[in-house]
Amino acid sequence: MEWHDQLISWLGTFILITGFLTVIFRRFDNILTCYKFQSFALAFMTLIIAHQYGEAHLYGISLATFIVKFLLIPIWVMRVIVKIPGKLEDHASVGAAFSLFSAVALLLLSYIISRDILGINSEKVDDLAISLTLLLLGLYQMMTRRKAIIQMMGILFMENAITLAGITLAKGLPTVIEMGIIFDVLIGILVMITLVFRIQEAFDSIDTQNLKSLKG
Amino acid sequence: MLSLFIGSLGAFCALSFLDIPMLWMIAILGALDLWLVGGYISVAAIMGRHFEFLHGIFVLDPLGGFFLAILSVVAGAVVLYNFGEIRQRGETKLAAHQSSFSLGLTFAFIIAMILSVSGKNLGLIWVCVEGTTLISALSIGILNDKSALEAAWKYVILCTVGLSFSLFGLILIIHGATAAGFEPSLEPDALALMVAKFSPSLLKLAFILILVGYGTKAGFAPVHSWLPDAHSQAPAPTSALLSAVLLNCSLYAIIRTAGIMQAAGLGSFAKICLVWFGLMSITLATFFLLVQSDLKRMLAYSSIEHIGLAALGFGLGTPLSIFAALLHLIGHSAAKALAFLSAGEMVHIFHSHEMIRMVGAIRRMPVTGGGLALAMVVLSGMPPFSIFFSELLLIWAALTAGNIFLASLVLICLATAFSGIVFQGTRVLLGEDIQHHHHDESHDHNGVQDPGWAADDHIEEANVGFSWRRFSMIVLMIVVFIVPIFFFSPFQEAIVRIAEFIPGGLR
Repeated sequence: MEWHDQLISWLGTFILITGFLTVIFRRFDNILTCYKFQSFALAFMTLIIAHQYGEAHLYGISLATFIVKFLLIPIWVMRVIVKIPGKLEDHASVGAAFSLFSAVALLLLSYIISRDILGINSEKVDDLAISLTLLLLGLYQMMTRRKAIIQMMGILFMENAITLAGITLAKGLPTVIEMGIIFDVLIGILVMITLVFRIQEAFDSIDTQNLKSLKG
Repeated sequence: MLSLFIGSLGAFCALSFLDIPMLWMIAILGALDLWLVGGYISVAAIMGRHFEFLHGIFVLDPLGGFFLAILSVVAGAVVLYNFGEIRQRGETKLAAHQSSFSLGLTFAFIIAMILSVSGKNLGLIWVCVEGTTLISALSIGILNDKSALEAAWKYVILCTVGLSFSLFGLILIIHGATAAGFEPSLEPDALALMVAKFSPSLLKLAFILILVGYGTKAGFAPVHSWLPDAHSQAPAPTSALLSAVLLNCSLYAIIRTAGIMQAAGLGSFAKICLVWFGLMSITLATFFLLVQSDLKRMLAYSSIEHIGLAALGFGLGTPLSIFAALLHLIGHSAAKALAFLSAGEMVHIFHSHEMIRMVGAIRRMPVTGGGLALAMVVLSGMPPFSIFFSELLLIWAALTAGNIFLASLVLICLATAFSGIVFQGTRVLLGEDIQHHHHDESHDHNGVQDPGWAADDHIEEANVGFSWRRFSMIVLMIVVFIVPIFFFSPFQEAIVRIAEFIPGGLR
């Protein structure tokens, strides 16, 4: 059973690296590629954990993750992107170096929190720390990016972080709920893409700097 | 029975999306379904009958029945109001929010909220609450102008992020179960038995994450920033549902989670968190309430204030305070739905959100203006109505719990909010009719865009006769007058029975 754990920790590292890359990249297609790789690693990891513990319902979740997050969502988002004119490069409010530095700081913070909470001897410290980092990185991305569609990617990354936590910490949520979450993600993407389109029509741009008229 | 109820609403939802010619029948049947069947189910559930849907995945217990009762009454009126908006489309160019599509969205939103209050499994509640976010985002953005889109985008982003944190918290709870060697579960009854063996620090982190997440949705300060935007920009039926029902649904999720904390022996931690969020919401909302010039924004801040009061009541956790908080929710939902529906009518007639434009409204529009006046009187906490009594009981509960500082702070905020609402309300509704003066102003600003507003000299209650919109307002007015009977037995006993299901209650 040794190879299971080793492979899982390699995949965890890979997922963490894709998370780091997302805060550095500027161009939308790079970020989407990151998302694809991350989702693929996530589906693969679910498969291995399903095999390791013999949890039947995790096979289904692995398949659903692969179909929805590796195939469906990227294709869907790509089809939207081609309809939005102009280059989708984001002028983030902070530079890449600062982002990388913040990402490392968030990683350290997550490690400290998870060690405090689980106790230093728990074998799950790494898992909790990685998923917490990814969750915070998603939030960081949403706060620093200005293009609506990249903020939407931030939500997708946060959702990936939660799925990671679900399979590593909890060996998967109950199937009904897991399916409910995937369904929510699909509907959520649909709703957000609709809104992005309408924003593009109304403002002639998807820069969220325009969305600042309501105050107080 | 519950399956029949939800199924019929689903059918109405589908039929309105299809835009069949007999839409009036769908709307009336939907409203009757909500009032009669929904009312029957919720009363029976409060009396202790067991309802289930989808093989027991969704079950309704007395606490869920209580929230369903509020939901049914408000939603029925909202459906009729929404239909009234569609009725008017003949004259004008068909706007998106006046089409049958909006009625379909309203039904879908109502169904999602019914499902979230009839979930007992914490994970399932999460799925349904997230579902309500996504559906209502579409109905907020339906007006399709720039500010509505901005509000919808902020709403969907902030609430989804908040709820992501909640889900993370739920996963931590499951991890706690596995780490302590139990079969992982999110059923509250199963969790209550094993949660005492979980690591307390893990549970505390999980609870804070869950509270912040659902708190975003419930509109607790300081994570409330989506709320005034969404409530003010959405079409009237959606605003009413958001404020009067949706906030309660998130509060329901928080109460369920607090029950787990209580079972783990961490009840006092959960209560302190709730009291702090409640207190922050009350103070911040009171401050912002005073400086609003936009009618619907002012009502939105009043929602934050009242939800903060309810959270405070649940947080104090004495039987008296929980009783007060439950009654406060009833009173607030009835009055706020009435307020948003009549405010929507005012905005529709005056073509403006600004209160200064609506001066002297009650003389020109007795029903709408009267509805708004009644709602404002109730919301400000004037004596003969229920909110006054529940606020009094809350402060009394804080005093008997020995928390004089808390009681006096809340009292100051309530007095300030009272004067704010009464000042604005009297100015808008009873003020001198200086219409001509405003006419000139409107010519300067947007006389060109709004020929309808500039043209007629006398703004009066839109075309006489029966109107579904006015009918729904009158129903809600009657409800507002009925609410205070809950302070008397036997209704009082029913509320006490519900309070037993809340952590810190009599049980």
